[in-house]
Amino acid sequence: MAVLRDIPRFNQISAPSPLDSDKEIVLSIDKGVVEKVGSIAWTNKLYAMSYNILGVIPPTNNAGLHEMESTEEDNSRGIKDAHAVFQGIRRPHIEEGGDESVFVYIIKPKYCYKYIPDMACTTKREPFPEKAVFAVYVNFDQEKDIGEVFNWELLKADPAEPHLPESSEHRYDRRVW
Amino acid sequence: METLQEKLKSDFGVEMASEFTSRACYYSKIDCVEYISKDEIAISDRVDQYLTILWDESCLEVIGFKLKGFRYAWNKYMKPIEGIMDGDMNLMMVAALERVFTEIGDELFLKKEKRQEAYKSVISFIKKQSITMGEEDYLAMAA
Repeated sequence: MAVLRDIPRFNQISAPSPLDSDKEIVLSIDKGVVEKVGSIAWTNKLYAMSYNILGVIPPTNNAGLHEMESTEEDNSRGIKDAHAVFQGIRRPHIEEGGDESVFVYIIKPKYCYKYIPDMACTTKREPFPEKAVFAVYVNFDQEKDIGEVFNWELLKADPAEPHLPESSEHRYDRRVW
Repeated sequence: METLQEKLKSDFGVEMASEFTSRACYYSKIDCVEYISKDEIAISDRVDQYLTILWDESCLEVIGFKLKGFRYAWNKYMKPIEGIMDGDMNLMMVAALERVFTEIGDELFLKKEKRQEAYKSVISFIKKQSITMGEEDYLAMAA
């Protein structure tokens, strides 16, 4: 787990390659999305970007305060902990196949960080919702080694396979790994 | 140590608003309108290829929604309705949902009764909100 002094640049993310989980590549994050989320100050979504994508505790005053007495280990590496990648999201009103340039990384994190209205520290670690998985959407170039994250969200998990999103067979063209 | 706001500024050139505002946002790259009513963790629950419900962590309370393919649906089904562009955002969203449900959404994810229930929940949720949208987003969405 990255300690606070090691906070990397938020717009450069180390991630597994969408084609080979053993190979590492670097992703960026679409500034437009960050701008929109920042414009409404949806802090919880920004915390998810920091912790569940970058693997960094959200940088806030006294971050870690509420977890000081916890003996639970936190080895989260964000998107590097992805256990599945799907290719080709099916967009509405587009009949023929999915968008092949889009890959979706699926993670089942142990924790998430939540915004709480607390005078000492507004960042609190919680167990990740059991009925959900975390999805990161990335647009790739043709060679699949330059990618840009354009969305991230919690998705309802498949009750039969709780490490995967519900109806993944209908949402995506194929599972890559 | 840089705070989150400072990191957003230094790494993205983005200024974070000082407090949460519940406002519909249009994401043009993915042609999607999203509305969240509270600064909370949201769990996305897909109803059909157009509508996604945003639930709170417990999946008991609707806290928002997403309408995908929105510009397509808007231009094809909503813009031709006289006076629709002069209505308030709540009415437009409800009208859009009603048209999408009856004319273009499909039952790939949920059967008709469940879809109907889901659309009703979201319409009921919208009627309790006061949805606004920034002008830039509105123009991009309706272009």
